[in-house]
Amino acid sequence: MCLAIPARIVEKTGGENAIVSLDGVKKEISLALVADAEVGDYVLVHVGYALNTISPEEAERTLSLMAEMGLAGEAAE
Amino acid sequence: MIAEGRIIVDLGRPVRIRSSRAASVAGLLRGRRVDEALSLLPMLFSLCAHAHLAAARQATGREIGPADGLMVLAESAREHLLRILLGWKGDGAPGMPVEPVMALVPDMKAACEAGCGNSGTVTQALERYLEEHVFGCPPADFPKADLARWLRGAETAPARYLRDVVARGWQGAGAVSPAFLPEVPAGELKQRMHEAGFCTTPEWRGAPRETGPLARRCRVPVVAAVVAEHGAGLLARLVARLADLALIPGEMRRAGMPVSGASGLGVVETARGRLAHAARLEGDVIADYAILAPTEWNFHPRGVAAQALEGLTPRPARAVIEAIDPCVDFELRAA
Repeated sequence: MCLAIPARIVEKTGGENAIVSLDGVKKEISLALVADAEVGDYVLVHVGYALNTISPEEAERTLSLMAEMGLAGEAAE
Repeated sequence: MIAEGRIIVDLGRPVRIRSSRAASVAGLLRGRRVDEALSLLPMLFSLCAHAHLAAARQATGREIGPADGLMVLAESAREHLLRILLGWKGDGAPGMPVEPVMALVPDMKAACEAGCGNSGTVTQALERYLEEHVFGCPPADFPKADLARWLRGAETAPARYLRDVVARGWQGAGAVSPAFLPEVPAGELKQRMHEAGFCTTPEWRGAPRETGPLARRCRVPVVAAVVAEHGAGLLARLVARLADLALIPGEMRRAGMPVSGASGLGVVETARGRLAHAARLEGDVIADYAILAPTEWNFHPRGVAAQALEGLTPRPARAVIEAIDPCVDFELRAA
């Protein structure tokens, strides 16, 4: 099932890439699909791409749902 | 941390496919009122939010209207185009513009909110984009096209990618004897979906099945011709995706309805294949819920991906996996 996970942009790294923070874990992703995302914005990330920006409230709500669903602590091997 | 899950493919003999795709939504939705559940699902499944929402509305007995169909079609077009944009990299020539693709779903939503009669402008914009950047001809002409002639003539990024596949001799890479998921009786599907384990490793009549553009469009002339010449392999899958995409504007005009089902079951044809939701209600409260996504059919341990990847080296294997198109990330491990 195609989950897209909310993450906060902490740094733009040049080109179309950015570092996002997801539960404190940092990961480099591509902003190629979102024209106007800035540092501090929440974006939905799917397979290494930010799909769109969402509000911090939406992000928080989605993350708590995902945690409730048992996705937290899921070892990605 | 929260992980979106992924599929791990070991290119050994035999090919091994495992999924770390997580969590059932049943536990999250059980005990909630239907309206609340319908507001939560699109937040979780934001990639195919409208497909999931339409399946859920149908499964929980809510009304389904033309706007639901149009949103699912717009989302399917976007998902096909993103797969093409991000994955079909041929000779490094300039690709396709991103912005109109990402605008498709929000534009269709705005049009539908103003009354479905306004969807025509969005359909036209999609059609123009497809003609200019994908097909090099009116999209409605592609399903009947002579592929060899189209490949010689079209100067679009997808045509260049397909020429690259042909130049590498990968047309028949990953060809399988198709075992397409047929139309299935609603009552039986619904019952199976509530059984433990069915939605993670689904089988129908004792065998894993394929769902997706090739299963849906195998009778479209341009697709059937490739299957006849090269088998149900890489080129057939790529052409089937293009044919499926080419048919979307016409379906939008006809108000084609990709949503079906019965009481307690919602079935939606999405870009990646058939998505099903099954709901058991007690009054207006969800007693049990199950979701069966296309990736579970196609990446079943003995399913179409496992069969197609048998004997392939990593480069064509990667192209075949991307053509079957899992909805999560994948990791390819060489033998």
